[in-house]
Amino acid sequence: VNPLLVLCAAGCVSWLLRVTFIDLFPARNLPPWIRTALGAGGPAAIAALIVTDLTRTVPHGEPLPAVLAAMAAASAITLRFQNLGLTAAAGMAVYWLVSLVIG
Amino acid sequence: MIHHQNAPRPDPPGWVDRAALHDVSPVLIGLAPFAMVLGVAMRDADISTPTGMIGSLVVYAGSAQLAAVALMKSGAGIVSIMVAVALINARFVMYGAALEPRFRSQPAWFRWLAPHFLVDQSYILADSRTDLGNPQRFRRYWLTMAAAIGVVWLSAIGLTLTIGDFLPETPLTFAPIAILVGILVPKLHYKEARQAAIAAGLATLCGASLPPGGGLLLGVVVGAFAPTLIARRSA
Repeated sequence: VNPLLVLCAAGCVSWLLRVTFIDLFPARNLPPWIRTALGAGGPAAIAALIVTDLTRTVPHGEPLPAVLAAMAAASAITLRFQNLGLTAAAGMAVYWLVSLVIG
Repeated sequence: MIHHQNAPRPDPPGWVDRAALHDVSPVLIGLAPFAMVLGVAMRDADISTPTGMIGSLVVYAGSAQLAAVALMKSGAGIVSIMVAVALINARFVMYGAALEPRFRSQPAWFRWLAPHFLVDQSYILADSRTDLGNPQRFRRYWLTMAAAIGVVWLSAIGLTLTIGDFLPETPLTFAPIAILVGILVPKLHYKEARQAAIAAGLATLCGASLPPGGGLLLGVVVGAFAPTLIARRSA
């Protein structure tokens, strides 16, 4: 199969999913309880992405103590400064340091 | 609002939304390593640079594209590949539903074309802001964010396809998680957000052995509906 055709088809499928509740069946027609639930989608998506990332990387050599320490540092920096750039820098620095220490 | 203490100044008239650039900049750090993984996978599958670049722009969803490339390499048929892509990207349906009120008052071209740039990062950032009620403001915010993500995403993929890995693996591998933690933690101030995050985390963990994208989809759906179900039970 031509890779470009496959990727274009994948793009069409993805686009259809994206516009489903925006244009095809607008979400304003959904029952109110579903629309209420959608408000919690943000934190749910972020938590799911974090766990997905961890379940993908930790069993394949990512050092768990370094990950946990870096997550704690990132949380603390976020609470103190509410700055994503600083959070990312602190998380990466702690991850790197702990990885070095535990070898 | 994500950044309370570092809120950018009001935007001058023009195309670029300064707040969008401010919000998306740290996220871009985490995109490059993932784009490289995808670039390497496409190189291994003998996909040419132009095909890889066009495909990445058309799909605009890393996990699904990675699965599609791996399945292509293994000789899977197009139906299997499309089913995998649909399963992995099924969460976009929910993201679209959540952002629909922001798209509702937009011109038709924007409502049909701009959702193409709906990905985890753009959904999370747009959903976190409470000051995007003005349609023109949302349009500018969305397009600025999409352009920034697109430029970094495609540049990193293009460079990897052309010259191979160009970034050290550590500590950049942790950047995506650090950024997600940075976005999640301020939201946990609210009980419903805590319930959603805990339920999503546990459900994702339970679904870790599901096919690619299954655990993530399960986590997002369970997490989103958990606060509503808990409130109904308590009532």
